[in-house]
Amino acid sequence: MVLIGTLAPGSAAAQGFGVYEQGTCVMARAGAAVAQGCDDGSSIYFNPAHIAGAQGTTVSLGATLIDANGDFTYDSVAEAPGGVREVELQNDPVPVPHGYVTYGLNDRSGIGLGLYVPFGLETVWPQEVADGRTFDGAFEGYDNRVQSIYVQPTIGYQVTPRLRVGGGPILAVSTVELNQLVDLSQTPTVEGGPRFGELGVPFHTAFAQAKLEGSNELGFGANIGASYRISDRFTLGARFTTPIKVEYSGDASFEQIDTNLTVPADLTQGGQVLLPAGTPLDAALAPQFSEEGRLSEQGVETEITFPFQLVAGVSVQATERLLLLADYQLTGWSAFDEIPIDFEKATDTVREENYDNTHAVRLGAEYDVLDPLTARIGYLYNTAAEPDAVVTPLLPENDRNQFTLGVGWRPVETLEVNVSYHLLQQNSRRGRVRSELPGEPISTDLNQGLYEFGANLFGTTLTLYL
Amino acid sequence: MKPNHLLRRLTAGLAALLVLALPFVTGCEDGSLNEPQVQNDLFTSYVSLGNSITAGFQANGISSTTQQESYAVQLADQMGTSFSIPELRAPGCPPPVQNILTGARPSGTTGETCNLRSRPLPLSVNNVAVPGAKVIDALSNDDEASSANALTQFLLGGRTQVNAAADADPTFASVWLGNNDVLGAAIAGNTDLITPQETFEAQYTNVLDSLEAAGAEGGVLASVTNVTFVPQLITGDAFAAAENQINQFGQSTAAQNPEATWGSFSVNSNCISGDPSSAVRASFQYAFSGLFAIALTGQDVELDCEDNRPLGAIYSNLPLEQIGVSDAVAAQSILTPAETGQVVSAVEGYNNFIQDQADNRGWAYVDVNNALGALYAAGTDTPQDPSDDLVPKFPQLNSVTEAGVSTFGRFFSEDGVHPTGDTHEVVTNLFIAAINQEYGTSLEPIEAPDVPTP
Repeated sequence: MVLIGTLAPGSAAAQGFGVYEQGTCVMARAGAAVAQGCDDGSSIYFNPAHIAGAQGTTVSLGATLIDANGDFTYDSVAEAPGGVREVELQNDPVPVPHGYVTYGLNDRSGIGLGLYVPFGLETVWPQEVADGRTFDGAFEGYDNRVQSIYVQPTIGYQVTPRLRVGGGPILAVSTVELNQLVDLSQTPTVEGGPRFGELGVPFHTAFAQAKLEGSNELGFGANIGASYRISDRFTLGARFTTPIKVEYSGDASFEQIDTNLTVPADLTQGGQVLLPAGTPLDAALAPQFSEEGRLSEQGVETEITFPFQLVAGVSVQATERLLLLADYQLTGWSAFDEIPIDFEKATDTVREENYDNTHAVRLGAEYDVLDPLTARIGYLYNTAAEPDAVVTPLLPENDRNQFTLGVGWRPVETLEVNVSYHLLQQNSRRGRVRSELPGEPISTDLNQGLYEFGANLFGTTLTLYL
Repeated sequence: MKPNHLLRRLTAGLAALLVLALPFVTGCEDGSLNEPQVQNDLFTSYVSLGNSITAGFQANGISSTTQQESYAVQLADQMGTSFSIPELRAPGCPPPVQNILTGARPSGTTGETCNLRSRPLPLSVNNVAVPGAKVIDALSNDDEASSANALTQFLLGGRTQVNAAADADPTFASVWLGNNDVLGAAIAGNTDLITPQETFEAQYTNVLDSLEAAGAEGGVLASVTNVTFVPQLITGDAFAAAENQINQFGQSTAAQNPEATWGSFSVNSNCISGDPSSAVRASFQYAFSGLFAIALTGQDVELDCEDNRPLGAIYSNLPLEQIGVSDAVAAQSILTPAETGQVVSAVEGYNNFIQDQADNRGWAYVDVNNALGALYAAGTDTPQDPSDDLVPKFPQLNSVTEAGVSTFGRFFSEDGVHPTGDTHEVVTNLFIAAINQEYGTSLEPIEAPDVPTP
């Protein structure tokens, strides 16, 4: 668990911040596997019913390296800090691991244990763009991570010669981390008092770095599936993964950043001087970071619901060597409607996300070139989870076209190596680099520029058939 | 259905899915990706620097309503560019007076009332002008000569105008600075307060260099106003002509105030010159917040146009502070013809330099004094009939009793210094004409009152 906990998923390669690359063989088919899975044990995730056909012991271990790239380009009429209009995503390539063990109990049943990361997100943006000018998006989050590792014991059973079912409980182990700048203009001068912005402090004046993290919190759910073989050539399949809600209880820390603003004239109220001319604002703010201050180290709570997945598909053994597959997937991203952040001392916030359910079509094909060598290709299209009004630096997502290819090589009976490549192309999308302000409706009027996003994914899985 | 038939149909179905997916693969034209457009790239980000006029200060106050009337806002509208102002919530900070003679402000407010900035806050501030600003204030809030005040905090958050303008990444700037480098001297009757020409030039150059360094590719510079066209400064002739009117007003004011006793207000004959160019001037504040207030305590006061001492020195025998005469007013004296000449000369010096700067940098130049002079002169050919003066040469004291009458007329607000919304419209068209001429743009003029042309 410690090992896995250090491996963070990269930016999402499926809808929302879903990660569908949980096995290299299936990845090469664009994820189409619900009607007919690969033999590497990944069916624990893609359709547990297929575990019913397991023979002997199978052990798979692999990872997908996600190399995401993207940028945000300010509209020409939008104020770009320092005149820098294009700001690039700074993600490093991130490996996403998977591991499966299956065991065939008899001709009709099998068991297994899977460990995979179906939800993950990492977005890294710069804090500054030029001459000390702050990137607006850093106030939304400049280094954000969400990962949810699913551990799933599984059993599959062949009910009839045509019908197989399977399923298992899921233990989700999840970590979330958000690093962001804190805007003084939106901060109350005193509890219930005017905000600093009402005293003229400019929008997006950074006066603190906030780090919020909650680690290894648990959630529970289940993954079930069924497949029905219509004939020797046709098989239907379906899977349902339940939504899993994870509640995080973690830590929040704040580090003061100098604004270098000075009060230019006596600020008075009722004839009494509240802040004399020449007072450095930073000195006036410093007590907030002291041990008793509202921005001292403190507890923080939040929760995220990882959405359900409903997948149905068909496989067609078109020829002796050619297999065609098609899956449709519905993902319940509407459950991700907001992120409440409750601080022990600081002001609570709620980030409105308002995601939509998403739809995906996965088309895959594999061809046995030689007995030990199989080639695979695939194409995937999915709709976006984020509505037009909430495309933010947290996840600049859109409808996506994705292309895959790969090969599986089984040089000996007991060993198989799969490698695959996945190209993620995303349509450009208008979005914003700021939150809505108090009293400001969330709408596309807030959008300030254009997001570009894409990724290259490389997968490798090593499978032992014992 | 035979298996091979089903196979063919399913294979065809998969192929159809692939065909349907093709539009997504190849991408498509998406109108939702289009960004808002501005009329001309030059105006992509317009910032306005200035003082109270540009900020939208009127009638000794400022609020979101008066801020919206600024020529800078109307100019930005014609440019079709996004332009954010640091709006102060109604009724303002402080709320504008409804009548300068009574000092009345909106119900429940005083001159100390200060409502803070409106929410939601703008993402940036394009109108960075601050009331009271001299040229030095665009550069520094803590210079000895700076006039930084509470509005510098509330409008700019402690930044200077130049810093705030740079934060807005300007492509185009308007600068109307310099009025307060002479106005304070004229009102106080103290020419020592005039910013020296060399200092003015150095500071003004610094402002323009900073704007260009921040990215401004063009701009428009406005001339410093000839303060003798401002009705706050009243000629001795006008005082002499209004002597009876002042005393009648004093008596009626005292009659309505049981604590007041009207003395008398006389105007020495040395105030009559018959020639505006050699006229002595006194400010409205000197006359009404000073002499008139003293006369309301039963004293006999006289406007002596040859006594150039500060009011506090002339009436050193009286407890002026108790009477309600502020230190600032007590420090004021009349503006002699020689001092007026110094003020006018300083304005001409400033404006020659500003015009040179505009020429050298390829920026537009607006001479507001031609239009202002024509406005001020309208009606002066019938000196016996002040009713046709577009700019009253003496405050209209009947504004206290007659609805719809403004103390300083249609074109100056109740403080006698700052233009009304009508004047801002006229000024907007002056800016538009100058910009179109310099840059060959086609900004449309706005609807504005008909005013005399120079």
